[in-house]
Amino acid sequence: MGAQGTASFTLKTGLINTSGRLDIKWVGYIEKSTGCLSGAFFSRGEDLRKKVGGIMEKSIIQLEQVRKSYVGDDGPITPLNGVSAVVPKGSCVVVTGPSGTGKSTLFRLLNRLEDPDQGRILYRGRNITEWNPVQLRREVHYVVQQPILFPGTVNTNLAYPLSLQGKEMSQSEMENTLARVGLDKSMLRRKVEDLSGGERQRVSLARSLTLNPPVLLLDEPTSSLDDASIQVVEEEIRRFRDQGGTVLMISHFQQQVQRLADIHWRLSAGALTVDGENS
Amino acid sequence: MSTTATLFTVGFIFIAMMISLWQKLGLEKDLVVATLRATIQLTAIGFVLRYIFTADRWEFILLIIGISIFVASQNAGKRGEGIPSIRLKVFVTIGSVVGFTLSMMLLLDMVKPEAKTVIPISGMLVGNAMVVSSLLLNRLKDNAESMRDEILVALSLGATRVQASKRMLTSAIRGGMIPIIDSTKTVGLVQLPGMMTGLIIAGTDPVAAVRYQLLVMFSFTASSALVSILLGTMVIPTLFNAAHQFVGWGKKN
Repeated sequence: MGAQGTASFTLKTGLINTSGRLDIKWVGYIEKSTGCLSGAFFSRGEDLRKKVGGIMEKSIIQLEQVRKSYVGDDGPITPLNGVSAVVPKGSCVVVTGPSGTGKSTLFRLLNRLEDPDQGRILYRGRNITEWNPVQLRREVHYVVQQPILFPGTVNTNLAYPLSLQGKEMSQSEMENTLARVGLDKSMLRRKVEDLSGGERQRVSLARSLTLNPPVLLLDEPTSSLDDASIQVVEEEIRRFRDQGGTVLMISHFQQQVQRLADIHWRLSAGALTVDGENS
Repeated sequence: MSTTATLFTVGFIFIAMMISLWQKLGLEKDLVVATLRATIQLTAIGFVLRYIFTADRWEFILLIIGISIFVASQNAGKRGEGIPSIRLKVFVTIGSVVGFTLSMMLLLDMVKPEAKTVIPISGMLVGNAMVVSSLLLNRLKDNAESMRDEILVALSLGATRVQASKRMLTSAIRGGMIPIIDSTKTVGLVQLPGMMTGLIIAGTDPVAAVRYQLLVMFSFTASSALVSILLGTMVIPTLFNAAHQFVGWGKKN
C-alpha cells in the first residue's frame, strides 16, 4: 500500500512541476516505476495514461503565493507564508504538519470563510473571489473537525444544507447518505444530543455529503472514530475520489497518508512542501 | 404632599447610608450622587413639564420625546459597543417604533392628543424600548461569540449571512421579549404597576386606572417585538462582510 501511495504521489507532483502540460516522458517513467511497484492502483499502462492525462488537463484548485497572518497574543503569526500548490481534479491530497501550522487556516481560505492577505486561490481557473461565496462554499465544501450539529434530530441536520436552497430531501436519499458513512437509517430519528462523538462526526460528514460537492475539505474526518468506522469513512473517501471528486484532507496519521494520499502536503512554519520537496 | 413631608423622604436615603457604612459596602458616594441626581433631574423635569402642559404646543412635545429617545439610544447603545454606528441604529429603531405605536394610539383614540397624556405615555414606551434594545444587544453580542462555530458551520454548508445568523437572532429576540411577557403574566398579582398606582393615588377610579395600564402593557409587547425585529435586522448584517464572511464585533467588554 505504501509503495502505491508514494508512486502515484510522485507521479502527480512530477507532473505538476511540468507547468501544466502533459510530459509523455514522465508518463513512461511512472508507468515503469508503478509497474515495478504494484499494479493494483493502475492495472494497465493504458489506464494510467488516461488518468494522468485527465489530471493534467484539469487542475481544479491552484494556490499562488498565498499568505495569511494573524495578530496573536505574542505578536503576529503567519500560518501560511507564500504557499503555492496545485490540486488535480479527482485526486486525494492529504495535508499533514504540526498543530497550529495553518492546515485549518488553509481550509478556511479555500472555503472562503476568510481571504488571504496576499496571493490568490483559483478554483476551476477563476479566482475564488470572483465566485459567489455562498455557491463556492457548497462546491469547495469544508467539513470542520469539531462536529457541530444543530439542535434537533439527525434528520433535521441532514435536511439542513438543501433546505437552505429551498430544496427537500427524500427519506431514501437521507438513508443512502447515512449508509455511506456506515450509519443505520434508524439513526434519522435520533436526537443529536444522544449521539456519541463518533456518531456525531459521521453525521456531520453525512450532512456535508448531501451537498454533493465536487471538492471536499475534510479536517481530520476520522479523529473520533473507532477502527471499523475509520475503514468505512476511508472507503467512502476513496469512492468519492474514484467517482471524480476531489478531496483535501488533514490527517495526523502517517498510515492514513499511505492509505489515501495521491498527493501529500506537509505544512510547517508557514511553508508547504510537496513530498519532501519545496513546492 | 407637603414640603416638610417631601424633605422627610430623604430620611430613607440615610437608612441605606447607615447600612452601607456599617457593613462597609462602600456605596455612600454613589448614594449621595444618586440622591442628588434624582432630586435635580426630577425637579427640573417637573418644572419643564408644568411649563409644557400649560403651553400645550406640539413642538415642545416633539422636542421632549426626541430628547428622551436620544438619551435612551445613547444608553442602550453602550450594550452594543463594537457594532458599527450602533447608537444611530438604536435611535432610528426606538424613534420609529415609538412613533408608530403613539400614532396608532392617537388614531384609534386610545389616548387624548394632549401634552399631559402623550408625554408620560411616550416616556414609558421609550423606556421600555430602551430596556428591550439593551437586552437584545447584550444577547446578540453574547451569541455572536458563543454561537460563532455554529454560524461558521452554517456558512460552510452554503448558508447566506441571514440564514447563518437566524438562530442567534431568534434566541436573542426571545431573550429580550421574555421579561416583558413574564411581567405581563404576573402583573397585579406580584406588583401593582407604577403608572396605575400613581393614577390611583392621584384619585383616579381604580378600574379606569386599570384600563390605562392594560393599554400600556399591551402596547409594550407590540413595541418590544417591533424593536427586536427592527434592531436585529439592522444590526445582524454588520456581523458579516459582503462576501458572507464572519467578521465579528470584537470582544465583549
